[in-house]
Amino acid sequence: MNRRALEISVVGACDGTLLEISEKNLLALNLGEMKAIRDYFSKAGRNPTDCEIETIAQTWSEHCCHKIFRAEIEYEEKIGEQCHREKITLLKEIKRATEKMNSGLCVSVFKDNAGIIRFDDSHGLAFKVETHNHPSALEPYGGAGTGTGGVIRDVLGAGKGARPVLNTDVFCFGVQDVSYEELPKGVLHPRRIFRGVVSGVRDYGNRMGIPTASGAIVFDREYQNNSLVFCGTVGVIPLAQVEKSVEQNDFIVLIGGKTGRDGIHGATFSSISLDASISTSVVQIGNPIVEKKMMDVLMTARDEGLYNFITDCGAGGLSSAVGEMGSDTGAIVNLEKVPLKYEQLYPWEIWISESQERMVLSVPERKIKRLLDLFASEDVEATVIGRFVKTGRLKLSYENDVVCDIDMDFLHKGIPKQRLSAQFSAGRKGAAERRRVPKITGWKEAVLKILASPNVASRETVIRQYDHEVQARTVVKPLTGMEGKGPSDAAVMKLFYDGYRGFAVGCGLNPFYGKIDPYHMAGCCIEEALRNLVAVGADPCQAAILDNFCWGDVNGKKELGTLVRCVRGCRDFAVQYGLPFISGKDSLNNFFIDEETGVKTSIPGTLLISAVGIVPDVRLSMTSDFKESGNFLYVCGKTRREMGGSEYNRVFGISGGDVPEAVPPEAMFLMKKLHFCIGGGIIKACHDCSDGGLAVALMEMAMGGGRGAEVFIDRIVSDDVAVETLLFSESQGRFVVEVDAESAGRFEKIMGGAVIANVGRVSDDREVWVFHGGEKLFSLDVEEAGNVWRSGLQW
Amino acid sequence: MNIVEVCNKKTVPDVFGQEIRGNIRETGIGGIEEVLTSEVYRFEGISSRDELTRIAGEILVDAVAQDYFTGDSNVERRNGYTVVDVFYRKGVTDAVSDTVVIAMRDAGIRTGVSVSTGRRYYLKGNITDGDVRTICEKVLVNPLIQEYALVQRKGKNE
Repeated sequence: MNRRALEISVVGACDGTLLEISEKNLLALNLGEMKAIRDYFSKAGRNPTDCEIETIAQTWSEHCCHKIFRAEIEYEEKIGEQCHREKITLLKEIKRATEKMNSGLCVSVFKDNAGIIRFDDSHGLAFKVETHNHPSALEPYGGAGTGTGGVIRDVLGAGKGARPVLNTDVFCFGVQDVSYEELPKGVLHPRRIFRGVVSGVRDYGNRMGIPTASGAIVFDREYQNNSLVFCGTVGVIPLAQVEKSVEQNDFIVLIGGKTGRDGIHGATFSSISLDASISTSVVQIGNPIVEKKMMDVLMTARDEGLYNFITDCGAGGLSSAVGEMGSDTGAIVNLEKVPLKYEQLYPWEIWISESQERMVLSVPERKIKRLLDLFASEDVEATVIGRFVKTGRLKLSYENDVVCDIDMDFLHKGIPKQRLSAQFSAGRKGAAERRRVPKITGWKEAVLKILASPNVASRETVIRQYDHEVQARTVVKPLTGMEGKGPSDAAVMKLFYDGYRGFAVGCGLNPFYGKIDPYHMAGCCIEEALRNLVAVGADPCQAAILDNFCWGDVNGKKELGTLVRCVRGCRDFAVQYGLPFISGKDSLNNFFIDEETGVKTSIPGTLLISAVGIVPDVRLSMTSDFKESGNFLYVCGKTRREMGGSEYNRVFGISGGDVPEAVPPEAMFLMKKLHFCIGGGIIKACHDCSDGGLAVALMEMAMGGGRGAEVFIDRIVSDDVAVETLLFSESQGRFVVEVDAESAGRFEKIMGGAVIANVGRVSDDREVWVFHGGEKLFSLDVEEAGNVWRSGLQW
Repeated sequence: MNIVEVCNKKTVPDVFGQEIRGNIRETGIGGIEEVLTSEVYRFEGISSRDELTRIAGEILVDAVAQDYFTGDSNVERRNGYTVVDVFYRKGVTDAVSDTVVIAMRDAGIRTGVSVSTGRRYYLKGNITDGDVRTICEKVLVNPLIQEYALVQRKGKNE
């Protein structure tokens, strides 16, 4: 077999040929980019090798380069009669929000594998959330498992390495009861994807010895052909280990797993749509035992100061890792030195393979022996494959043949900037039809129906598969109450065994709001993520957020317009809540083309906001379960008639309505006061009102505590008296809070100026009684509600 | 090529098999009475049955809950079942086989052996050839990374 590099004829090629080369080789490069490559090599007086063109394709891929987020976009927005035009670059808008806040919490943002915030005087928290959508749609178990493995490596590659202490998982799946006949060719059944994805995250996370304790799941028909898998990891890092730099003449050391054909074209593949003709090679299968061994020895090497720089070998493989590390210096790599799983790989395959469990180190000469000895002593592969040299070029050789020799400047700065147009239009607020309550048999039945909805139902079947307590740091677990029957708003972790400072992690996700207005979806997601943190005891003024945008075909002006509007929402609301973005990721082109009918389906524009916040004292962290009968119940925050996209509207097939709008000044005022009360031990239970509104929040608190309640909903502060608004509106900025009678006066005094209403009491009779206008509206047995809630999600 | 098959002892419920049976039912195929599963290891480079038995006994089997069989002896024992083997396609990472190779080396049994791992499904019930194909394609196999082989066919079209 001839394993020399092949020449790709681009010099002198016409536009059609250039596009053909891109498509045939799965490069996912557009005509402008192919022309830039042609021009570069025309000047060099030769054609590129396959290795060179693959290197450029990986580096310029949407996955690695975020072309859409860096593009200059002419944006036009029309809301009712109001028209707005601006030139916008999405990535700049997000970064600008963080810069504007200039938060002392931020240690390292938007420049490393993960964002890092200050935890205490000597430690930081690194947090990253990645998507692994295309791989998980094709091979759910392997795709989701390697999604987890990949994000763990991102955190290991943040600074000089953060030790992972928590995993998160958030999924969007198609509805589970779809028939096989409805599925297009090449699409796995949503149930199979659901089970495979959960199993993949479970097996990787559990075997790594990292707790998976925070997450969310959304089901919607529009995710059937493109499910979404978000995997996150939080790690702890000494602040002294955050800064890193590659030094000239450092050795390039590849550590961890061996290299095979798996995952080839993963980076460029994520830039294109799915269909039934995908190749086996894009699928990655993980081996957590290899990564666990690598992680453990890496922490020792970090503490001994054996390397100057570290990064993950993720999308684009060595091409991206070494290419980025050597961007300011230059690099020489001998590809034949890369340890292989099997022979007969072409040089370009070795270079761009996305085989898992690999990382790259930059090691000074004087420390190389100790590092190699250390890795050998723990039976972890570590191989010198090249050196960083001050040439400004990326030079690769394979058995004495030069297979790549390109300018680092061209590789990293040569991509033509895209110029795009985007449009968004919507009716004036309040213009949507306001349809009233449908004919339902009764309010009790309505509550039960919503509790049984897959989007509200208990996640216990999933949660119980994860080890959420390994490492013994988990203070507030995913399920709460004496019997673990209620849901928690967020996970609280105690970081060090000799202190009580901790952190909380939560998230906000609601694509249903985005179908109506992506701008307000952004506001709601940001606020929900923050509310979740505050509800468990985190300080709203010491929190940071991450964004993950998953969108469909953004080649169209309208779909791109919804993305722009969402980014504008992120920018505006993050600033108003004082929440810096510390990291983010976009996954675009989540659409599917049915090979047989040619029909294209896209996911709904989806924004996941993940939040991390400091819990000053984990002994005062809060849970949602009712604690004691006789205690008062307060609904904090104002209820508005905002039923658009609500669980109630979807369960009962009601269209239209206004989407909830976050009101940051009002919500922050309330949350700061609530945090003060939680810190003072005044509050006994706290739960945020989100999906399903007040009714669901109350029932979840009752199920967690195994206690009932008497609730008078007409005492709630609201702009609407309709029962469905009071029970099911998903207005933002609201919490249900339990306060003992003794502390009620103090609570009301502290909360002065905020919207609160004493709506009833916790009772011992395991029945929730709801009254309206002096009459009983309905009563619901807590046990019955719990059974319905727990049976809504079938494994 | 030599095969070792590892399955639960009769007294240990095959939970995975029960889950697969449920998944098959969800496709609309109702004739399945029982599904049993086992892990299958294919070795290239070993010809001695004694050596295979040692590998199975010392590395592959949990003697408390599992039994092992070499060759096709378990298939012959379960002659009333349709039997399907599912293996990874060539080139797909097989992490378990890597671990088996390392374990054989560490136990001082053998080096230089190639192993591939898969799963064997025993399907009991009145099912047609078409049903078997549907079960394989929709439940047992992800054709992108796996391939299947019909080892034994029992049922309606027999």
